[in-house]
Amino acid sequence: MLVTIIAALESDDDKAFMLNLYKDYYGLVRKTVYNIILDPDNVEDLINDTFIKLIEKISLLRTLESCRLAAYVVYTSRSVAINHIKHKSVQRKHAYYGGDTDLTEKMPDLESSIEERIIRQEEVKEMESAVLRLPEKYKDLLYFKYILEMHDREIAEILQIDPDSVRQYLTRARREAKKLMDEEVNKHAE
Amino acid sequence: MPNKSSDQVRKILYEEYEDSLFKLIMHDVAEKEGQFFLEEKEKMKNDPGFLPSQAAVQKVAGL
Repeated sequence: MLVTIIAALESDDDKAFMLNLYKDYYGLVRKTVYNIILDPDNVEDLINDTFIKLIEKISLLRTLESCRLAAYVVYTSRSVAINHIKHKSVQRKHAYYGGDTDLTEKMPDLESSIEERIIRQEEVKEMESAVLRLPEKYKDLLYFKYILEMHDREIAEILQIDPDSVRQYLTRARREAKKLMDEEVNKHAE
Repeated sequence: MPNKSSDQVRKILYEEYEDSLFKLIMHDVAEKEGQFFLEEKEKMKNDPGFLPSQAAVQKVAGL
């Protein structure tokens, strides 16, 4: 299937790009998939599924610099592996369940003084650090939404949740990141 | 945003603000985490267990 799809690519450049991507990232995709499904019998199929997904995004992939390409490949393989286990493990599936709606946090003042812009940049850095420390389920969700740019229905399909609930889960993930950031800030303030 | 109350408009705008903020945050997170993945990928190149089989590569290459 993977070979057929690569063959369908019209440009030789695209074919060469995909072949290099396959050779270069095979190991990382294999490890990522295996760590989620823990089933050697299905690893190869899911590696192929990952590269099939990646072929669909070839024009985007070709624009990404190396670090973001690596993150894109890894989180695509995570989405494929999580999608695979969704019917196999009720426990894992329900790990993503829950949900609440809370949009009560204060709307930030968007006045763009230089000082405020610097403070906001610092906050963004703190938030980056907090996101890196989030549990995988929240980080996956944020990657699927903001890096892989999946539609809510695709995310819902992978996580086995109602498409209308995706927003609630995103709110929860973002709140969790903010909570981690606040904890870190308070720790330094003590 | 016609036919929406002030609260509804505020909620929508806040969602858009949060989306933009997290797009920015995740953009930088992907770069940082990607660096780690790249290093991991390079280490794996010395481990035959993480290389595609010759047959698989030839199959893809021989198109």
